[in-house]
Amino acid sequence: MITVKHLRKQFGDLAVLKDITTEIRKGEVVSIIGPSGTGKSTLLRCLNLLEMPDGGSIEVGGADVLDRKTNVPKVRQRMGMVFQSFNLFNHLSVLENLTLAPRKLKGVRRAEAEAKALELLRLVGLAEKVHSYPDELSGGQKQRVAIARCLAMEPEIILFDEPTSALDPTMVHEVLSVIRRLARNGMTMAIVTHEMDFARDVSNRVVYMDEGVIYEEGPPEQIFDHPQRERTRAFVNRIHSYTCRIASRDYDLYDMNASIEAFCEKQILPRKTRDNLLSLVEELLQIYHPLLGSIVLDMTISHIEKSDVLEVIMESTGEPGNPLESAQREDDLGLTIINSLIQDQKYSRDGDKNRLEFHLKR
Amino acid sequence: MIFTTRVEDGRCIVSLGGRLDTVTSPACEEKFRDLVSEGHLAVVVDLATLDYISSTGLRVLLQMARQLEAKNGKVCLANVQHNVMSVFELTNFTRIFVIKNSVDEAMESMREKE
Repeated sequence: MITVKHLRKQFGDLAVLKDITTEIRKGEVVSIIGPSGTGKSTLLRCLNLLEMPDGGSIEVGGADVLDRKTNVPKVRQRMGMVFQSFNLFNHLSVLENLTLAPRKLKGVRRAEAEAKALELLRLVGLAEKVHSYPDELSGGQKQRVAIARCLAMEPEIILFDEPTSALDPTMVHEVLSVIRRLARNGMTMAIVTHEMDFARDVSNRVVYMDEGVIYEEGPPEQIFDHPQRERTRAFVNRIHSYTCRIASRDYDLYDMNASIEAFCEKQILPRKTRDNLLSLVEELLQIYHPLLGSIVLDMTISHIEKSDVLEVIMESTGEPGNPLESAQREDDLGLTIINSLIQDQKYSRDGDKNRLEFHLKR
Repeated sequence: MIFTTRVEDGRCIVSLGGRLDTVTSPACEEKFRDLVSEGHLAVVVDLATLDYISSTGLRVLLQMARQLEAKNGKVCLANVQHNVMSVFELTNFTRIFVIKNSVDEAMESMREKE
């Protein structure tokens, strides 16, 4: 239905969309996820030309929407859009909000438009609000009216730009229920959302955007359960990380400790967990100590919010081999302490680096 | 790290506080070495204010104990705090050292062995 090739969009010096190529097929429900500021909403707004792209192409049902000869309003009529901030006409009643566009743009007679509007309001559970005005409605009700207004134009595809982000958490469910129903009825949809569980349930395909490109896309099971790429994994698991590089024996342990404590505080980790983490880091650095100066050591501490797991990864250059086994030690005191703090460890050779991965005991 | 000493009944009571870690251990090791070389062969180490010990700190205590043993001296630890005790138990230090709940008990224990 919609084919996008090498789409680019810049705002001044800021390249928001760098090179987007994707398509949305008829009947598909595509969720678009990713960090804030990564171009998700801009992509959606380019599709119906609320933003004019700086490069690339967009075809809707085979028509090139960027071609000057294309009747853009006609193309736009085939696409509905639901905004984060509802964008209802506050001076019009709910009924008038729904009937305005069909009557003015498609020439539908009043009676027919009103009958259709009432049917759509029943679909979204708001038939009793037909004569209400937007300021008499809750956020969730406004958004449901916005969806009904979209449907009144019988679009082939609906674009949702964070439809629940402006809603009180108690109202999110009512709007998502309506969108789920549309999905079950076969409506083609592209949804920018931060509701990960919803995206997993309702989508055929999930697009993860990062830094203006499609970083990874695939079925929900892949993106949410088995992400193939690092940043996708970090995003869907809500992984927060602290990294530092240790290149010599003169590292400042107390400065590092302060940074780690700040990281733990930000992650609201219990004090005991913080103390165990600091202990683990010190003991690991002691293991690596004889090698420092001839290797470069990158340490990453990650809190995987989704599973409440704390992970420490030590990546070091140098000869292949597990530093825990190969490093010269005068005794096993450090190793004993390390083993008491971790639930598992894994060694691997990653390119030209030795990689040790530890998961702290809870 | 806090390292203060006093002599009572011919025994040296060392109050060790703060952290005994990679940063503070070298200085602590030197102070213990000086203590032994000055002839203090009956040592009580009061750990009431020691909050943290790493493997480096454990080695300092071990080294001190070996130096005393070589001169027929003795050492007793006292007032070990909970998280430090956890590390002692993990690393079998509770079998290596005599550990008492207070400085008085430690002093009494040393008297009994004389």
